Amino acid sequence: MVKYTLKRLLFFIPTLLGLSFLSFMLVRLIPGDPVLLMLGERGGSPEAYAEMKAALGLDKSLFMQYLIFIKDVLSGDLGSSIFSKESVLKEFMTRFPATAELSLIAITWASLVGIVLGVIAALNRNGFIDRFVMTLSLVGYSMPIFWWGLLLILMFSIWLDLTPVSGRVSVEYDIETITGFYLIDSWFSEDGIRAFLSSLKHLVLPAFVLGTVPMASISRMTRASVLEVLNQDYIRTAKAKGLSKYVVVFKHALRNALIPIITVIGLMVGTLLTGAILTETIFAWPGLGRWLVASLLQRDYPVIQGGILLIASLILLVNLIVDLLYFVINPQMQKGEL
Amino acid sequence: MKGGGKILTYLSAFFLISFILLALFAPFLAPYSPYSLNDSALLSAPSWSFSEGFFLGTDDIGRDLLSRLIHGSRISLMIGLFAVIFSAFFGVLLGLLAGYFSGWVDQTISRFTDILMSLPSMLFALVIITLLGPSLMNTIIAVGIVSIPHYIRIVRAKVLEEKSKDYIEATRNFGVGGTRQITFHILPNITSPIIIQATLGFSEAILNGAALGFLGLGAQAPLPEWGVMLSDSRSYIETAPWLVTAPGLCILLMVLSFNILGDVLRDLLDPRLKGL
Repeated sequence: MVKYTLKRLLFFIPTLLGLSFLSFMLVRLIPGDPVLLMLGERGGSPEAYAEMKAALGLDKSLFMQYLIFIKDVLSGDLGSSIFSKESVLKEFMTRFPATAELSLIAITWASLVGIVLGVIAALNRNGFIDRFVMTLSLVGYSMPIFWWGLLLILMFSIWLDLTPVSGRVSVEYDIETITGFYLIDSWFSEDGIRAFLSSLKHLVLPAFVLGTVPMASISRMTRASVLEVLNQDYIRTAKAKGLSKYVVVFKHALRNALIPIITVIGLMVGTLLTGAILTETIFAWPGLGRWLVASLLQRDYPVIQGGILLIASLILLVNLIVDLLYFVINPQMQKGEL
Repeated sequence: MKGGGKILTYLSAFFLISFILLALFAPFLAPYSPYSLNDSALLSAPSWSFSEGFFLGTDDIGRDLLSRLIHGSRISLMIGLFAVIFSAFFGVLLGLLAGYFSGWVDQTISRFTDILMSLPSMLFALVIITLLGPSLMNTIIAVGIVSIPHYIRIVRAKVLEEKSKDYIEATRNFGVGGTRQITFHILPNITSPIIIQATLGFSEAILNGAALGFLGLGAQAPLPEWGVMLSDSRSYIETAPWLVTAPGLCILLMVLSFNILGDVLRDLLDPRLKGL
């Protein structure tokens, strides 16, 4: 375990260095002069230009620039936005809870529904239900979620008038940020339950959209995993002992089938963040995805540079944690058999 | 293909062939030019008739939606085709090198692959687009680059597997050189996984390309790219729902067809995976 953890941590460092180099080069590879870009269209005086260049550290050699960049990153300084003048780290932190809340709800429903559908499909292998579930999951997997979101807005918000079109909560409710999760924070606001219901209504559609693709993958994978386990000897033994079908499936098969499924769910943080970029754009959800797209469109380079580094580190960190958890839940790995 | 059997396979083959024919003969099949404006028919609803009006309606500046969709199939298939060629070429090449030559060549390529794969493909494509600037050409490059690691991993693993087999040992004893060994002996034996990956790569490329277009970071208006069309029609979702429905349905059908056929191919070419 210790050896494995160390190995993973050792790999973590070059990957992070690679990513930091990537995001460092990003700003330096853009065609055009970043100094002029940051000074704006009019450019300013030659003194202002030289001052800006020195402030950005662009008058030093590339290697020195990279060292300085790494030093700044390590001390938590990722630069600040050209437009809002806020520090990138602070902007990241204010948007992070919105994306986290959305993603958590999305992955929760996707896992529950996906696992149940996958088990049902596996138990009815090649039957009508199996075919139906697998077709459904194939459609979900192929879904352009930016269109899916618009369709659901059309149906539920415009035609049926059930859910709001955008944002996290109605403007009439004033929610103070405590955890950053509106479903929790709304309870502490003046309007209590009404604010909670409003934020829940705002969350339903985007979370449904964001969870669609993960749900499809999870159901396919659960089916495959359960089928594989059902073929194994100990299941045959359990059946031979005369245990009922449900005991065999839920007590023996599912338990073992769940290990790879849980790992894959944990590793879906990348899929979720990618999905969040599109989902947040459609629903005007004030999270990381929308922030990144806005910065890309505005060519706000410090934000793009820092934002990508932070988002990539977040993904790596979650993957690392999942990997280590996998180690904990899979006894075979602890014995060093894998 | 577990999930629908023959009917679904035929349906997706039918859709795919239709899309390819539409793309090939777009100028002859489309009733109007995808760019011609009709001041007298702004946001007109679908007429569902070819003899009068506009079959699928028009957009906010009076362009015929059906004609734009037909021309759009060209763009999406082009993104898919060129991105797949691009990524398969570099991916297979690097994978062959990494698998055949062990040591630092393998180490360098594999570490590079690991770093690329640690980022979700969409995020990575966005980074590349930032560098190159948004356009159709750059969409193909960005979407192509992000799929390279898949090919490297598959090809490398397969080469390692083949390299240890007797027939390769035999060719070596006959004095066959490295390049010849790779191109004439190893490569022909590992084509199945490459073909499977390429088919699935089509759907990923088309989906990512459309997503970039939708975000305003891919193909640019007035190109009739389906993602761009969706994003342009967002403000008319209430007044002209047909504008939002049709392009997305095209993306879904095309991506779904490629995914289903990819699954069928996998079952045919790699029977070991069947049923899983």
